Amino acid sequence: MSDFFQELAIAMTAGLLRGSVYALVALGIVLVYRASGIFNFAQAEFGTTGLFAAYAALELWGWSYPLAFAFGMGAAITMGLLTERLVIHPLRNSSKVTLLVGTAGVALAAIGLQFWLFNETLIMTMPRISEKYFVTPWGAQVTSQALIAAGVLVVVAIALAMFFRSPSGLAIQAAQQEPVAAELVGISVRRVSMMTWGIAAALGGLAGILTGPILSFTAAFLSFGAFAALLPGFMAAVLAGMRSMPGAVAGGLLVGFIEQLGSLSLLSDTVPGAGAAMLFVFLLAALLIRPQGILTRGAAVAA
Amino acid sequence: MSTDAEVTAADTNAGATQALPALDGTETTQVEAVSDSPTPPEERHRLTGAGLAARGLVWGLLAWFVLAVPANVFSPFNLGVSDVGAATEAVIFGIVGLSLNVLLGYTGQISLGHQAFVGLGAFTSAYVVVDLGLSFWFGLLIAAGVGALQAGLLGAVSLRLTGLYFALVTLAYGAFTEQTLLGITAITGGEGGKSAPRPAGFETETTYYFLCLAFLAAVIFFDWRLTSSKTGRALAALRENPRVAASYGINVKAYTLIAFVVSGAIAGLAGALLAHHDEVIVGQKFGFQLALLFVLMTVVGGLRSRSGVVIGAAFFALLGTGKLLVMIDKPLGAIGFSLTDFVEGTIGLPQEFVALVVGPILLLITITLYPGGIGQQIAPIREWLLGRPFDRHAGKVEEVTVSDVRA
Amino acid sequence: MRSPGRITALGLASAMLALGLAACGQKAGVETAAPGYVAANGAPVGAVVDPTTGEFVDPTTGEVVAPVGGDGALAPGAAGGDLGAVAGGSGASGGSGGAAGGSGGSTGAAGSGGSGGSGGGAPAGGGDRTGVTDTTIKIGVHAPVTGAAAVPQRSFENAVGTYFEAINKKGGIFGRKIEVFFEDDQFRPDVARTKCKGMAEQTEVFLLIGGAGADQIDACARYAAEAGVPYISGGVHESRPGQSALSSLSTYFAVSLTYDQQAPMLARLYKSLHNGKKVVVITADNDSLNGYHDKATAALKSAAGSNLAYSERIPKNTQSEALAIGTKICNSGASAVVWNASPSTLINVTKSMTCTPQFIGPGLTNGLNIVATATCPSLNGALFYSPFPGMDVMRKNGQFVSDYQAKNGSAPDDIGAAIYGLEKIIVSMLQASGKDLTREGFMSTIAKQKTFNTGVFPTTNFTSRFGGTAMHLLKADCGSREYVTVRTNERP
Repeated sequence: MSDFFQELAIAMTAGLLRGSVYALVALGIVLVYRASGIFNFAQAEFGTTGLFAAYAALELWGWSYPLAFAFGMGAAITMGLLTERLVIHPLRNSSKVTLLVGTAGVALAAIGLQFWLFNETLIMTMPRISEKYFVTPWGAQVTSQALIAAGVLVVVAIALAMFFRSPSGLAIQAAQQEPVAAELVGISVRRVSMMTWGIAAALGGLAGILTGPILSFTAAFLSFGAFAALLPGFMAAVLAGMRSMPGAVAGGLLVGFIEQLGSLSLLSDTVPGAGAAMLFVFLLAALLIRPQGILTRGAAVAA
Repeated sequence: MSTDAEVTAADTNAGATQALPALDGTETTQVEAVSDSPTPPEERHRLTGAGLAARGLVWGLLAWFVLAVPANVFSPFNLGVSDVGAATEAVIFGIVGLSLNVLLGYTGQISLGHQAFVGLGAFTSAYVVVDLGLSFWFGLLIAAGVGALQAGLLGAVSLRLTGLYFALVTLAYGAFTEQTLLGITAITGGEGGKSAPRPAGFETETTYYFLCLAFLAAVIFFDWRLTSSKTGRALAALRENPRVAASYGINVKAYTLIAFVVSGAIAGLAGALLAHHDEVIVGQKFGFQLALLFVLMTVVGGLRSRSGVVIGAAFFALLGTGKLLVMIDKPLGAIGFSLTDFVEGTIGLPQEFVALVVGPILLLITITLYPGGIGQQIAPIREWLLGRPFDRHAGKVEEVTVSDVRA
Repeated sequence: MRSPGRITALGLASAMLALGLAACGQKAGVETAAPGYVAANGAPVGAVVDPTTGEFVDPTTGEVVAPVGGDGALAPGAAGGDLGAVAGGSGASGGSGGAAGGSGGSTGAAGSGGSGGSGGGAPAGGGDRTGVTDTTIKIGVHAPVTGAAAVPQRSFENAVGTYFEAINKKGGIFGRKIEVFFEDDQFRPDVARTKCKGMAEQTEVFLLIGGAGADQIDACARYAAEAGVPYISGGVHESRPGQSALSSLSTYFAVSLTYDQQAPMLARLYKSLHNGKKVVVITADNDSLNGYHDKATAALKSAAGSNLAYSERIPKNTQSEALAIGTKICNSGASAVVWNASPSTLINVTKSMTCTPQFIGPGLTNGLNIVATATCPSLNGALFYSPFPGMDVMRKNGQFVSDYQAKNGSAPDDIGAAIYGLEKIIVSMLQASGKDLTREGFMSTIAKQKTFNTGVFPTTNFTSRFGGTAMHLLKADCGSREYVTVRTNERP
């Protein structure tokens, strides 16, 4: 039995570390949804784009780590802005599902581009920034690399909270809640939209680049995009009722926990793909029991 | 004069009771909502002898291309087994496209987990044929039934969530199916996959091609009957405006569920055909990538246009197998140009990735610029072929009309 | 009043149905009960399965036929003993095709039949000469160059045909030049089967080669046995649940040791380097590795006793589970990990580990230099068996370096070496088969001569379908970021 509890403790630790990445993705999804009511299926591909760009700069062109990081972030943000310009803006009067198909198209285009450019470099990974590690009292090992992701999440969460109290942040919120009134008081809804997508893409890029030194990635669907980050990110966002920022952070961590429960030998030995099964059941339950979000107060959004 | 074949069908039967905003933006679609009334006579275009001959020639060419070329009859090409196999896959993808069209086109709900219905259909049929030793035809039936059952169950619990949330649930369901359901080795045969032998009389690529073609024709026929039925008209009404439809007594949820079940059944059938086409199927085939490809081909094909969806599906299927480039290269070879060499050599894009790179670009162009997709592009020709005058503007669609999230 | 559109559509639909049915009618008389896996089950090719009893039935006499070629032994009937049967039986309509073997008649409508294509190449009484003309031999290769766990496309395309081209320049094999066709199987067994079928029945190759990927090799080998096409690959697994053993496939030949055969070598390696220390066995949960996992666990159990901390299967594509797996390894205090899972999983797990045990494992994929490049420094000192030596040895092979240079104009890599070795073995098999080249003759030559020594792969000895006799041992050297050869030709 103690074996089981130790396994559980290790899974929880792993869940927290994985969950930080999901939380970053979820924050981006929530931000876009609040701004424009769009389910952004390209959110995880902002991450892969940043990741591949950073990888190329670091490993193929031999840039330094900070430069490569900046380049990756730049690539992700550029992609976000281009998405807004080329897809979201032209479709602004279309239905939300059309926009969803549009963002899925952006995701696919990014995947196609990655396939094309990185097919030759099959297994990619980035070197760790730090080789240090420590072991927790309950026996879980934590590399300092994995801790960085959790640290970045804390910093980003605080920064976002502060940003939404600044004039720009308030403008975004105003434009989201009352677009017509916001225009009247001189807030450019267009600029706010660009800003929103830029920040969302930056969050996605951050999440993607942070996984670079932790995992291997390939220009295939198995790596960061699609299921590995998009679905958990969306789950976290749904738990947050698609609207609450703190809810997205908590949701990301919770999803990380749940997914890691699937790796417990009790489950993984009996159920194939236990992680995906847990996520599906949990998502369905969460949406049916409390569609307005579990980690929020009141009715933020009804399905 | 309405444009889409489905709408035409609705037109001819529609009692003029409620005019709803037209989906093509050019004129009003009559949708029956309450009562049946006599079908209004349709204006007929008078065909001249030359017109008939020209249409006959084009029909003949189409029939020759679909029926004679794959059988290597009256054909200058000598297609081999893998060419015919690719054509069969294109036909099966056409059926999948029609299945997704029922859901996405008629109800405006998007399924991002459609590969799950196809995949479970495939393994169901293989299981029925190999493990239970029952006939292939029974396997098809059960596969369609399993597709309908899945859609029914998933729909019953999740269709209260419309639009975006429904898409999310189907996405999660696809992942769950791929990794969990298709991971059950006892049913799927593990990584080595499961064998799915072809039925008696259809072992060769050519005969199996015609079998699949017959099923495609049957599905088109069924779909056409569906759209002209009460259900079809109800679906059209609730897609246009669910609130108005509901106020006329149409049970929105029930009809959406019916469409989802029909879509699931057709997808299951397509899965079974796919299984016996491949002869060995593996769970790996039914990943998220396939779900996206299905959405891609249906939207690019043109929602609610049967001919467009089938052509779109065939286009992506042939692109994926690399046969499309070969087909284009054949006539180009006369002028000494090879598109394959150009793409692989000059652009440096391996042929396997062409669909992945070209597909999303076509998708984005479709939804932003040509919402009617291929169906819109070919609408004038289709109308002309059906005996109406050539109208360059036939089939104009303002937007890929899919439903909104409704609170 | 019905609209013209409706009538036309209805007419078209019924015309299609009618044509579809007419097409079935053409084939209605053909013997059909032979679904794909007849040959795979060890039956004499050309027999059909009785649907009720599951026994193999001779289609002409209706008598029950005993399966042949089991247990890895090369029974005469399986490889070239019964030339007529092998020549005729191929494709889905094997039952009727058997009759066509001698006459070369085509049974499929307009050349599209499964057996029609390959059967057509066989002149009366002479065995199957598909893919062979007086001046050429067609050979098909499949490997994953895209997909989940691919090998680099350019490397592979450069590698394929390097030795064949060199032989062609010297005049070919008995005046026949080798034409090589390459298909990407996308790391998917179903795609591998389709591509192999296309190469065998449309391109009409003489033999098929499996370049990499165990499940793809398995799928294509089973197809090749049905179609009577010789199939040659490196050694992978030997069996998979629910399907016949690879040893029972009548056209299959593995030129290097299987995973199963390498299991005792891994135990010996542990004993020599880590005796008395903890060890764990980790294997991917691909069902084709069931046999290997049991053998490796048993071998380590007897070598390490209670020092075998645990033995575990892990998910194929490990992402989120990597940390739990890594933690468990480190918590066990293992000094060695016997590893057989994909390179990407290897990276994900080593990245999350806080300890540095030595990884040891069977060949082939984890011993590729791209793995060393990506996994260093965590992989330093890892030992993997491989059918071909490391590049430190191969760069000194002047013939190889100049052949590769001649074809590709660049310095060779290890994938080039692997394929070069494979092609060398195939060329010596073809040369040994003599001028009158038939598939049956080719396969019986392998069974008769057994030994093919090429200097790259260890010498073969085909006393069974698994002709491998030894492996080379490679060590990850993170200084040079590639594998170096520790010793060559180590026997089990």
